[in-house]
Amino acid sequence: MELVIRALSKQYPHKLAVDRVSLTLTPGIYGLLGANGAGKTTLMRMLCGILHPTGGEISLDGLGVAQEEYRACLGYLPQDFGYYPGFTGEEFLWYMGALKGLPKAQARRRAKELLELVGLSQAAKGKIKTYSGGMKQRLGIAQALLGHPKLLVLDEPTAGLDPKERVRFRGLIASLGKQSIVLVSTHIVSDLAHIADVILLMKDGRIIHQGPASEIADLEGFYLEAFGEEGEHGGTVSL
Amino acid sequence: MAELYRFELKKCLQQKVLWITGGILLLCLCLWGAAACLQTTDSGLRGEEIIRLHREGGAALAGETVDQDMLDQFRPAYEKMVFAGDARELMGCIDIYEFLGHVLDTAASAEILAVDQQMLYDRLEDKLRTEAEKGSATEQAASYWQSKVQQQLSQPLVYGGYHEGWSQMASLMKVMTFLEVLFLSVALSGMFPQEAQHRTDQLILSSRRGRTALYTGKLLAGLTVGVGFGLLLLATLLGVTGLVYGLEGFGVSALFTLLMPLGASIGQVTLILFGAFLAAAAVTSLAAMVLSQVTRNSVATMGILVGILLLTTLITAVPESPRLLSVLWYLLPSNFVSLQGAFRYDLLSVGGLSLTTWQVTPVVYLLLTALLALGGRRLYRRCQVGAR
Repeated sequence: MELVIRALSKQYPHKLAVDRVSLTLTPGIYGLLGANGAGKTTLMRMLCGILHPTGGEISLDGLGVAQEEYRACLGYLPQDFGYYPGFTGEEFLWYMGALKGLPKAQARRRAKELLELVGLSQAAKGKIKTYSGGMKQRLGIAQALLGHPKLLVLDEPTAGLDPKERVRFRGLIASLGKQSIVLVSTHIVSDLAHIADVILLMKDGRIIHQGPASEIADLEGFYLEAFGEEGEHGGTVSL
Repeated sequence: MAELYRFELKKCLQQKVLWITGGILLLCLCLWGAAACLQTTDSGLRGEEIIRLHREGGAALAGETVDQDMLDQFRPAYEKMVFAGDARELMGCIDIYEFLGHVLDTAASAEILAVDQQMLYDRLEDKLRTEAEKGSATEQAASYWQSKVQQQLSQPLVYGGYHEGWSQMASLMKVMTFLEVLFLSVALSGMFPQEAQHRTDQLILSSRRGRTALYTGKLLAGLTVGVGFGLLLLATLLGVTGLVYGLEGFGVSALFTLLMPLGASIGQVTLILFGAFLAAAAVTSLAAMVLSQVTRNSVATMGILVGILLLTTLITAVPESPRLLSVLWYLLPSNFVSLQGAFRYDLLSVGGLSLTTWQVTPVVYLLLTALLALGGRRLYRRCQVGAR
């Protein structure tokens, strides 16, 4: 299984948000790091087919991003995850299951499994508007996993989660990375340090580093150095 | 698809504002009925008493020919109303005197008192032929309507009896359409914009069925709400009218209410307007949803729909020329669904058949509904999530 991104660009009137990004991703966990405004969310939105690129192409095993079959393989948790306040947690997952094309019975079964997995079984019949921030985020993670996605795109997935929930989440993602391509963007560097196979650094719309996480001893220091910030050892280094 | 439709319907029906608006509009309809009973006229009679007298008198007169004997029989009742202000006896034959007033184009009592059978039928024939001539755009249409006048007046008119309920409903259809469009502008203007508002658009557009089956589900849900509320309005109207005015007189000639040689009864005319109303509800529902997609803003959509509605209320007539302007004007649901809008002298010839406005326009609406759905689907498939 292979996600091929070839010379992908997104040009806005006053900004080049993504600048000729080319990547080939195979099953594993890819941590996408970058400062605010680096282009991470724009890149992810293009991978999910909700933003049209101004140049380049994306394909997953030969399927173009505009094809329904591509979206059938996709699981996405956006940075600003939205919901319907009047729906219950399980209704929301049933709805998302229907959107992903799952047969009704299968969607309900899978929803039950995922609610259990993310620790929301007790709250399943409660309205989402009564959920805490962490519960909503867990529900978002659950909906991304509904269709057993081959490509999982998670934008700031651990935002709002407490440390215990973040550890649980790391374990969950680590298990998914064996069979799927998982692209995780986060500002919490320690999350990626534990689970990512490959680190991607993004700056000003370009990928400035791509390499195995195992080769980076101190990911946080590496990140701060790469973006010209003062690190633990003092001094600044710019790329 | 069924699941998506069910959830879209749920999302629509979860809007509190939909229930509040719908409830208020239905209440207005009920208050209209209550007002009809409780109001007191200049003659000092209460509404419910007038209705009772009208009903009893209409029943007594049912089946009678409108001729010199009838006019002579009720002249004293009319004189009593004009000179003594006592309308009780006149209520029983008020339909006849209102009909006289329409034919003679006057409310002046002196003229009405002076009319006889010959004058009545001469003026009626003249009026029908003149209106048909004026309203027909082609010679074929003029010839069609002239032959209808001939058929209608081949024998003296027979008064079918009290039919106030059906008459009121037919007259009220323009108001009903106003209520329906108001409701749709509130209920459906957020159908698409709500996804951006709730920030669920990203999840929807990135899902397998988010650009295909979901669109159909939304349209069907919107149509269900729009046409469903239309049916509720009609049911309420029937109920209130039945309670207040009664539903007898279905078969009374529509000529007594609408001076046009349709050859149909007032009940049939009302049912035609009901059908037109539901077709208008369908096309307006689609228009509201597609507009909400284009504007991506529920308030803008509401503004446009209500703005057009107010325009059709303020502008009561458009010139017949240029013809396209008047055809388009009367295509608007709030103009078409009315006695004046649906029953016009325009004719469309299709394969040797002459089709009237009320026959053609609902078909046009259904075609427009399909076109809007297809056009909207093309737009929706190209939708993308902007920066926020």
